[in-house]
Amino acid sequence: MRASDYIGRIAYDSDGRRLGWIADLVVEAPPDDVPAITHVVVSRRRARLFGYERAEIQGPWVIARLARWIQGPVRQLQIQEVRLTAGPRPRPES
Amino acid sequence: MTSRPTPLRIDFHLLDRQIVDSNDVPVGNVDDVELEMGPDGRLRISALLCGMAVLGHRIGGRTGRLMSRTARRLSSDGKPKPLRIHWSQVDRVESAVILNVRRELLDDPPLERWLRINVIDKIPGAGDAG
Repeated sequence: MRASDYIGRIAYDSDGRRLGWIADLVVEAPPDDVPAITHVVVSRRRARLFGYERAEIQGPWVIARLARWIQGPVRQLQIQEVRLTAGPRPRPES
Repeated sequence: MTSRPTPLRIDFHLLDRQIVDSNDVPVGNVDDVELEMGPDGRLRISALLCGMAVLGHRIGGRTGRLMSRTARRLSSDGKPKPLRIHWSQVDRVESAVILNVRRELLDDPPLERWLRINVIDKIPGAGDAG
């Protein structure tokens, strides 16, 4: 399976409630070990993130505000909170 | 010295980044990331994938289908094989993904393989190069 089987898909919680779009997969690993996915970044809008959702990324405030406005609310959830199912990419809602 | 952003984000830090070998020679771009289920039941990164068919699969839609179809046409058997770089061959992730091996030790990227077989090798005198 591939990362693209998950990124861009709709994320659901364990009860089947829709959480949003999977925008990114976060992996962590001790040095020199194979990284494993620990968190899922979920966005309410289906758009690629610019990085400004992360606290450590600071930039020109105009660009940061514009990026945050475009991407909408973003949450980083533990992988146990998300039901990951790879599948066909759904069409964007009209 | 292995150096990777912690935590590492697959889309933000890996996808579409350029891959260079240990001598800074370009290898390709990260078109997708292969995942595998580890013995502990967690999804782990197993390899980086490069190739037009891989990118077409990732992009999807009409453009993606066109890329996948083109990749199938360019492959000799209609089954384009992506360049697969095992995660253990990744040394550092910076503005580019830097490998700890030389490019010669990797398979040829699919498009380059097709160009070599169908174009470059047919140029008179190509065999004398090098």
